[in-house]
Amino acid sequence: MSEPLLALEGLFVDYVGVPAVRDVTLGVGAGEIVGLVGPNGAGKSTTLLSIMGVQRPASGDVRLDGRSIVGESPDVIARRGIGLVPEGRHIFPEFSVAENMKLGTLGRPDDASEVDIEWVESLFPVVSHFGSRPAGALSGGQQQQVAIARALVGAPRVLLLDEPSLGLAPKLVETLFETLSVVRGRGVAILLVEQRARLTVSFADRTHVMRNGELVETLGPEDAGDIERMRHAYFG
Amino acid sequence: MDLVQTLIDATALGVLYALVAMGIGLIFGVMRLVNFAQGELIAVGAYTLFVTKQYPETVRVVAAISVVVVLGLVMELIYRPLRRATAATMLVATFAVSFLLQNALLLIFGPQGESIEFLPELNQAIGLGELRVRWITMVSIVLGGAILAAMSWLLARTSIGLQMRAAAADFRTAQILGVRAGHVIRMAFLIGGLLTAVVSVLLAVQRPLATPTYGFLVLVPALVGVVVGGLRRLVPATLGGFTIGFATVVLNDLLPSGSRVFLNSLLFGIVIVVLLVHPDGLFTGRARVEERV
Repeated sequence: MSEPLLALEGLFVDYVGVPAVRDVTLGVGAGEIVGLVGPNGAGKSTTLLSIMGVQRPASGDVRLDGRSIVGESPDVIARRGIGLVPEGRHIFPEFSVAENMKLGTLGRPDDASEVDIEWVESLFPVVSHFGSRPAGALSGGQQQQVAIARALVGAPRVLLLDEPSLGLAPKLVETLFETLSVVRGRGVAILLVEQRARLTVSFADRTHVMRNGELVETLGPEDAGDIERMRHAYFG
Repeated sequence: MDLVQTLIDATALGVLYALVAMGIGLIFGVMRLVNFAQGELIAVGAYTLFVTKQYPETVRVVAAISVVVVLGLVMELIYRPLRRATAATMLVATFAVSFLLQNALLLIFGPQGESIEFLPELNQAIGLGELRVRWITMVSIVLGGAILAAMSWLLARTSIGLQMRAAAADFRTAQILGVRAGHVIRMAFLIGGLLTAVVSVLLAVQRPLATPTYGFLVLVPALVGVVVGGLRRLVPATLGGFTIGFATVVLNDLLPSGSRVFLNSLLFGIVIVVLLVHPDGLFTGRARVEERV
């Protein structure tokens, strides 16, 4: 069996000597959506940051297309084809939406085909409607769209999303997940960190539950209704 | 007419300090580093003009600019391993480089100062009605203004400008998006070096005695201006530099001749009051402090 596009193997990450991620092994194939859920402080965001090169792993490996990317800087990893939508969006509020988008294209892999800007704009009309407006002047939901669109114009092969539904109204969350389905349809591998566990489990191809830095359970869409199993995975 | 004369002189000094402030602000923006050794770059430029005395003026200017820019890039190499160090470590490192260069100049050229003799004819004044304006004042305003305008264009309209602004606003996110950290920092030192070199050349005409502390005496008020304007954003920092230069000349003119010795005390007293009222800087709106360029 060939290795998935993104592979984490025995990943350990420490924060000032305290283990935050312990022995995490998972994979995300092209066109797959893998969820990562768990209580606050479980190590989900740290996992994403270590994939992105922001947080250096203590040990273990992160491979993209079979090639280790551990030790690479975030800008190099971005150009290798991994895009991150960070928790809290981290758009540049005083820059225009168009400038935010332009920054997103910097991470385009050198060998990527022309970015389909029109496709991104069709997914997120806010990008073209409010191109000249300061991104900070948009609503929370619109800012989240800008953050995801900004990652997509970088033509990533792997998209990491850290709690994209945070602070969004239920209707917007529904739209967001529909959009992620469309993105997956283009062959993009998606690793989705979420607090909305039930929704994520029902939506993703498989969902890992993380607790105290470890993966303690893997659930499929068929487990979305099994509240007791999820509760046990969350709280032990 | 006296007032207009004062305003012209004040603008000229303001522009010089604004150029220094912009250099400081650019490097601080992308590296969170106040480069105290920037003053020594000005001094090195002045000494380069001195040692190339026998050459044509164009050669001297090119030599001064080249030496300052290269030295600025060498500083970037020195500071590079400290990129993830604490602010205190970086501050001490810049002091070390500053004192090292100052003492190197002291060893090589001695403490008494060297006469630069660079385009002294630009110090001659021309009459504009009742006004007497020195050529160097006009050159400083026009050239400095043009450079500041070009910098504004570069930052607002070019890809590297956008990357520098992004790195200054949120370095980690900029890197995640693909902004090359090393490239942006090198560009900041390169542009900062160019700005400092221009100041060095313009200053050499007006203050033709190069001493080891030549640049430090310009850096300190410019740095004060940066803090007054708002260290965390480039435009306020530059405006702060301009304001300090401008206020220095205006206050000097307003003070009775016997009290001019208190000029710096008065100026820094005002600075303290301004910072007490606006700790984030005079030109940073409350809602806009997050973006740093």
